[in-house]
Amino acid sequence: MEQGDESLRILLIDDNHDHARILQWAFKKTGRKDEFTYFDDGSSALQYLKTTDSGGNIRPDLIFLDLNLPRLDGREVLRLLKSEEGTKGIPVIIVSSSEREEDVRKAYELGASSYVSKSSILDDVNPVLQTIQAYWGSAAKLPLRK
Amino acid sequence: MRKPSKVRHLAKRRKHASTELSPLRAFESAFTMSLVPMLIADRNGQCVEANDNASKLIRMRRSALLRKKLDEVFELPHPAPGGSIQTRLLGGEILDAEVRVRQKDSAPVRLRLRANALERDMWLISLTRIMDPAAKAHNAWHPSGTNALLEEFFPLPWGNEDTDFQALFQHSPYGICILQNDRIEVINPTFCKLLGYRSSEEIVGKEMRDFLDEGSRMFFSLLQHRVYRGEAVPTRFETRMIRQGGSTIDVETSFAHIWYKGAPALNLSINDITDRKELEKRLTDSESLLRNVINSMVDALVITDLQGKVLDVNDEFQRFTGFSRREAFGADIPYPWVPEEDLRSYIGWLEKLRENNVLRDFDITWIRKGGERIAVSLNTTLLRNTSGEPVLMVNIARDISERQASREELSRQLQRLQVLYDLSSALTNSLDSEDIARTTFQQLGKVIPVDTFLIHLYNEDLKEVMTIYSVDTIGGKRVEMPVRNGPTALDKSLATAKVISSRKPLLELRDTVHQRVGSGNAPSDRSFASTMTVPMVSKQKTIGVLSVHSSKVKAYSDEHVTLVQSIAHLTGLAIEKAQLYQETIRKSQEIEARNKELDDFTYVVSHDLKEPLISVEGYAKMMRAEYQDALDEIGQEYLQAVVDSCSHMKHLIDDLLLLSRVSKVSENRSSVALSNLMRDVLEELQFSIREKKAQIVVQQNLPSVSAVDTHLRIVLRNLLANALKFCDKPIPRIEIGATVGPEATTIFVRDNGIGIERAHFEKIFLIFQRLHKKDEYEGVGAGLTIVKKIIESHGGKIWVDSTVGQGSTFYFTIPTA
Repeated sequence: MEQGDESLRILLIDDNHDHARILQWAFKKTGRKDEFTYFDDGSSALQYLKTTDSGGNIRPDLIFLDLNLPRLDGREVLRLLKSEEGTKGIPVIIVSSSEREEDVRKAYELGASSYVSKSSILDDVNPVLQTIQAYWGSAAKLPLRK
Repeated sequence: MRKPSKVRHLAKRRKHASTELSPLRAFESAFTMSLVPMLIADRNGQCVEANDNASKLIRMRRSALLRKKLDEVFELPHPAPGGSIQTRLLGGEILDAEVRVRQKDSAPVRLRLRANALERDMWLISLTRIMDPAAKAHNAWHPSGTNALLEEFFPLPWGNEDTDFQALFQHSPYGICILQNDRIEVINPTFCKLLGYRSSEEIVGKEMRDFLDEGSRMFFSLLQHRVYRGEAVPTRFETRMIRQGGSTIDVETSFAHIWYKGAPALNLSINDITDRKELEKRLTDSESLLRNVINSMVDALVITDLQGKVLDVNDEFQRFTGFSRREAFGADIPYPWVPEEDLRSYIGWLEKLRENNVLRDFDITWIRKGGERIAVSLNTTLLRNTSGEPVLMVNIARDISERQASREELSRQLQRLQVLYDLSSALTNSLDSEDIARTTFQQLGKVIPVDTFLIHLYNEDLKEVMTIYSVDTIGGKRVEMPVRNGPTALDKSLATAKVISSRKPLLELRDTVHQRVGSGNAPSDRSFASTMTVPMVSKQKTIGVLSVHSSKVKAYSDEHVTLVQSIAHLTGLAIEKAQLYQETIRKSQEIEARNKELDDFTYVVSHDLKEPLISVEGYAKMMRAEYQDALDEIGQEYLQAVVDSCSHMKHLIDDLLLLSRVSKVSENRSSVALSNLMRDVLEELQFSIREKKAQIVVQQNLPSVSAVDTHLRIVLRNLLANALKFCDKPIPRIEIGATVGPEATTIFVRDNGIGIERAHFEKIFLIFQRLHKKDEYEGVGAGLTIVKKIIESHGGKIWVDSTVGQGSTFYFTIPTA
């Protein structure tokens, strides 16, 4: 449980800069010291992740992924993340403005660890954090976590 | 024994050489030549002489006859009065008796036997056949029958010295006289008796003409002169003579030229034929009666011999068949009035006559002289003569063409009815125009000849026709033709155009067909002997045209037109129905697509609206948190207004999103227990309920319904929330209940709230319609719209009943589980 209080390296992918900014602010506001790496499109994020092991980039602990992305759609990004050996162990939380049932279901099918709506994060970031902590708590002992 | 040819020879010789014969020779030749069958018998009753005719009558050769006794040849009727023939002859009786002769292979012949005593215990026996009237009729009727009525006295030269001949002369059953220069010289007693006189003296010495009826005189004297001149005269002729007292007697007369006292004379013999005349008259009468009966028959009658050769027909036959009596007479099988194809069965029919005397009710076709066919019922009877031998066939033919025609007409009507019935039931099940056209063609083909069949639809607004179905006959087979062309402008010169504008059927019948050389396959390119074009009319509009063609001349009648009109009417209705159906399908698909588009649009717009809204709300919150100290109280109030507006707008957008999502969900329906659902919803709303101190009454044992769980939840939550919200009473009271129907369950939510004006019963379901100011009752006004959409997506209905100030009841139906 102590690990949940640690600052996390979070990769944030969202085309909406405002949303990215507000999200980071909401996290920071809680007093956490998480480290965000931000991309506004899926391809660059994937490119970045490819070099985490060899090219010196730091492998993120968590990925926040928006679904509604230009060009490479969020669902496609998720699918690629989960199909790559190097990235499939990183938990992905979908952060979307959509509350559509099929979007949620699809995300879980593709291997998302959680799904939160942007509105709810704005209203209260705590449930999200709890989700993260819960995940962190249960995932701490897994061998993937090096 | 002399043969007939020799007899004729002898007669010829006698005519030319009028030499006086010796009495014995004369007797002998007269005996031999006589047509009267005669025998001579001795005292023992033994036949000693017989002439040809006797031999013929008794059917025994002369040589055989001469070995027989009279009693062996003839049979007296039993009981025979006065013993056998021989004893009666010996007793000196002049025998005149009825006897019978047994003949081989046939019924006994009745004879009259007269015996006259000759010299030296010899008797001259003369025989006359007794004819019963039926046999006489038969002989008279039958052309080949021998006329046994005719008997002849033999001419006899007179000699005083020969008493044998005197006896013969005296006792002859024929009247005999000798005329010389028309003067009666000698007569026998029979002659005297026939003319009604008692003694010969009253006649002898008078002129013959005095005893002849005026009508016979001329002919008689003519013949008399011919005999004297040695010219041929009839062997026998009829003469009417005047008896004593002026009455007349019809006699059969024959002449012979003889020599009497050295001068030419006439030997005249007469025979009373009154009975025969009477019989003949009666026969003629009965024959004409029969003829009248036959001719007055309403049935045609054909009399044939056993080989089928026609002997007679009646008037009705002539009228009925058109063949005259003359044409029919002598006709043989095959008769011209029996069609070739029926001949075999007709002959078979006649052959059955061998077993039956009467055959009844044989239905056959006859052909009139003009070629017209008529239905006939035939009865055939085999007629037999008195001996039981079949002689004639009588065919009676009855005209049953009317009966047949009405039967055929009935079956035609039935068939038509059946076709109309089949068609209408087949058409009821079809909603495809081509299918309908095909069914129509198939049914139509059962009742009328069809070589080509076409259905055109007509668009009145565009004045266009379109072929939707076409059948042609190619090489004797009916083939469905591809319908290539789309709608084309109506060609005013075509029959189709005429029928469309007149709305009346058009029947075109040609006597000959002009086949255009090198014409195309399309039926419209060819020309047919018979063409029928019938409009399909619906609601006073011509919606199309049905046309049939046949290469047969006069294939269609007015009756057919009527039938095809009925068929076209049915087809028209069916096609119109199919078109309406297709149109409805198309429209509903269109509406569905449009709804989907709208839903998609709503979704996209809502979603896109939400993105900036999140930013606005986010920045507002950031500003409130980071720059609280920089703003005065009013500034903070403004900022709070931004946050509140954002929240309201978020609700609006969420409702819109929900609305766009509830439309196409019916496939996810399951059985939902209303009681469970109610419990969940009440739990969700428990905070409000407690706050408002509301009283909730839920019906026990709520049923299950077929619905999408999450959507039905939205419905109930909305209705209950509204009931709680729009209440001005201290204690809100809400009742929930349901009534189960076979198809749908009706659920109600009743409150004691503010109520709704009747004018707003519909309006409340429209999106973003608010009946109150925002600050009175919160909410965005999309709730009931979403409810309505969900209910309707389940195939249900929602409505409200309300009294202002007392409360409202919302009812909705949802499929029963």
